[in-house]
Amino acid sequence: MVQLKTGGAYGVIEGLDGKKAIVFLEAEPFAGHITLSAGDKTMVLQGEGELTFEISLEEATETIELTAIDESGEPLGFTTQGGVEYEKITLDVELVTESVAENVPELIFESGAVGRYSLPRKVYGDGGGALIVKSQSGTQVLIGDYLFNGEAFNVDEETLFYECERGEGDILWPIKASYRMFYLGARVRLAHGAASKESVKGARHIDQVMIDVTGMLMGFPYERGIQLPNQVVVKKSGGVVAMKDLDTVSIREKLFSGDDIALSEMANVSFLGDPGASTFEVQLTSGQQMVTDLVEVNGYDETSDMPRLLAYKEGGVYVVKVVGHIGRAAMTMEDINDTTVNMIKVVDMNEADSTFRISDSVASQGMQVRVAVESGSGWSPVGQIGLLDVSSTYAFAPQGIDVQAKPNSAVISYAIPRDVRFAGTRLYHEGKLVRDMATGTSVTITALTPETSYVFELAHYDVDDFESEHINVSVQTPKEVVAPEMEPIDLYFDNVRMTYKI
Amino acid sequence: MRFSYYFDLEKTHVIAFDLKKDTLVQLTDGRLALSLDASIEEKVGDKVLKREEKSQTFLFMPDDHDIDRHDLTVSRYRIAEQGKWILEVKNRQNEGEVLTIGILSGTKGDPALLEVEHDDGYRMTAQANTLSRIASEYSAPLISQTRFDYTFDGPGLPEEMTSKTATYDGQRQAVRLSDVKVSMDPLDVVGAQFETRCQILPTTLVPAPGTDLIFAVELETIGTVEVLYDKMRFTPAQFGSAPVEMLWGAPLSKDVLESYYIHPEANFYVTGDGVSKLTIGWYGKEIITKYDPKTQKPGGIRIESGKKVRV
Repeated sequence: MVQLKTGGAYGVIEGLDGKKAIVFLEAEPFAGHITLSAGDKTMVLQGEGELTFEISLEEATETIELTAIDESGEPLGFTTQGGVEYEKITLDVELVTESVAENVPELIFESGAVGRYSLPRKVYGDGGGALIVKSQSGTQVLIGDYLFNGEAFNVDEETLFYECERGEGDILWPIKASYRMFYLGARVRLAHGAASKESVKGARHIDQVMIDVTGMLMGFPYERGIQLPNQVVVKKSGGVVAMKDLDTVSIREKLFSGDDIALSEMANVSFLGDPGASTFEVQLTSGQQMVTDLVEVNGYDETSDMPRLLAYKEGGVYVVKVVGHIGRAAMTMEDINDTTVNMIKVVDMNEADSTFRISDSVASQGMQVRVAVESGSGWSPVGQIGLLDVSSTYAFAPQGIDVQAKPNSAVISYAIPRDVRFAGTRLYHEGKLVRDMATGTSVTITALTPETSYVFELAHYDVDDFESEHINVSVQTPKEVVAPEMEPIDLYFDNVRMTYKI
Repeated sequence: MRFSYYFDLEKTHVIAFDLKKDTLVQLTDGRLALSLDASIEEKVGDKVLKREEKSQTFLFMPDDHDIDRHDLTVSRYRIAEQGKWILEVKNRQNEGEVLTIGILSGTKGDPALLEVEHDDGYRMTAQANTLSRIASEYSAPLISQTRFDYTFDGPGLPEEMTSKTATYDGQRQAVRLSDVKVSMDPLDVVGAQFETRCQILPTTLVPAPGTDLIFAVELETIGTVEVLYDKMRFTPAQFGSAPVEMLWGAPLSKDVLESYYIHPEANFYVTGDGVSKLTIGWYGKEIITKYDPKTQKPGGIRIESGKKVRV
């Protein structure tokens, strides 16, 4: 007989690893082995003490079966602490879905070290709760009131929690909830994806240098017992030029949540330096460990053009567009009432997106944004713009549209608004820009086919290149008029004389 | 009577002055009206190189003594350096009545023989019997030379004319066509006045929609005259010169045109004065513009009509 100790759990979990059947149990020593069958899979374990069965399943199953045999192959039965005997144990299973990241119940972080956390108790059923905790250091079964404190051991480690419904006299407890908790490195990678391996970025507003250490933060070697980085030090030619203390609690929160923007805001350092090109050494340190990197920041080029900026709002986001810029851009934002800089962003811009986006939860209309852009020759002079709660859609759409269609061409004419911001009108066909008419009031389209329906779109645009709503314009070309047959005119011709006098 | 100047003893090459009486009638007031046909011709063998002819009527009071005696002066002149041979018949009773014809001959050298023949029906005695060199005070009159003269009395085109579309209309005694070319070498005579004239009557004055040309006459080296439904336009042949236009005013009328057609003086003509004035006329209207006789020497013409709707 296999003597079971109290404190086992079972379940079928669907999570990051796919579907699996799990059984944890503790047994007194016995000679033989226990077989777990779930679906069409089986697993055999030999031994005593803590036994953990995990079988990957293709399909979910509704029952798990445990059997035991002795060394000679004879069936063994099971007995529980309460003395109940079973020939074999058959368990009904309900599929449980694992929770990851956002759905993890509140974890209380302690400052400083990686992997210390607390998990408040959640109770399933009337018998009180039980928690199975599986981590690299082993599996623990906790019963009753618990406020779980634990520790993770390295950056790639995970801890799995299974909360169980504990009933009196149950052989094993069904798992009701499954949580997976990653530790910093894995969690950061899960949350930040590709962005997690960027290196240090440097930017400048004339003589104000900005260093973005987000990439360094994400790549920090988070180890067991290691403190989170709490300081950034910037050096030039061996001497310290800037230092910043980091709020590790907030940092850890942002690392876990995947909020890159918030992270970069917290982790950015700015300081005054000379306007020429410079190389800086950046150190990210936790007190116990240090990571260092070099960053080159281009110099200030006062002859390059100030960036052209537009401000508008889209949904809940204030947008500052750096018109036509491709390359690195850096912005700072100051509260109009408080001259301390409370946000620095360094963004690499491209043709598809050359904007800074600031949530309206951290900004409001009127806040001043200052922007410089990097070109081949260095960083530009700083442009400034206030955040604006205006739509990027130009208010005046084309009106008074008239169409004159011929078999092979059409003239579309329209009224233009009497607005100082009006800059022109554009014609689109099937989403593509056909013509920009600037301030003209009509457009002629040629190479059309007779007796065909076309739909064009007209939109006005303003001095900031914001377009209005697109108005559909239908053009129906008429039939081709066949030219009548022609023949030469007949002339009567007579009495031809050519003379000259001399 | 006929004066024949032969340049060779075989009498193959001749310049002949001919004067014939056409009619002689007595008018009710007693005056006599004598119609004479005059001609000058240069011939080599059977081939007529040049010929000019003219008719004129002379009026005079009959001689008290002899009704058949008519007082005319017939003179023959030759200006050798110009190659001009001139026949002049003057009414001695009225010196304003003069018949002058002449030819330009390229033949150098003096004639070898002179033969004079008299008509049976009418006797003329030439007073100035000898062909003399000009007197110093004689100024040669302008003589008209015909380069081309053709009237369609029957079907067929002269060799100078080509057309892809010509057909003969026996009723009108004219040719009906929509294209024709009259070939002529450019007139290389300095300072000559020239005239090119013909009758052109379009069968319709309404060109096809979208077009405006009724017919166009291209004169070599001079320019092109376009008769459009609303105006006449002359475009000089000289590169870069601007066209000259003249509006008809009222729409062209077939009836007006038909009546003009009968009267030769209102047909199509282009004349140059040998100095700088160029006149183009049709439908009783004229364009007067400039030309440069040194570089623009009239040659052949091409006529093409515009298009009408096929019925």
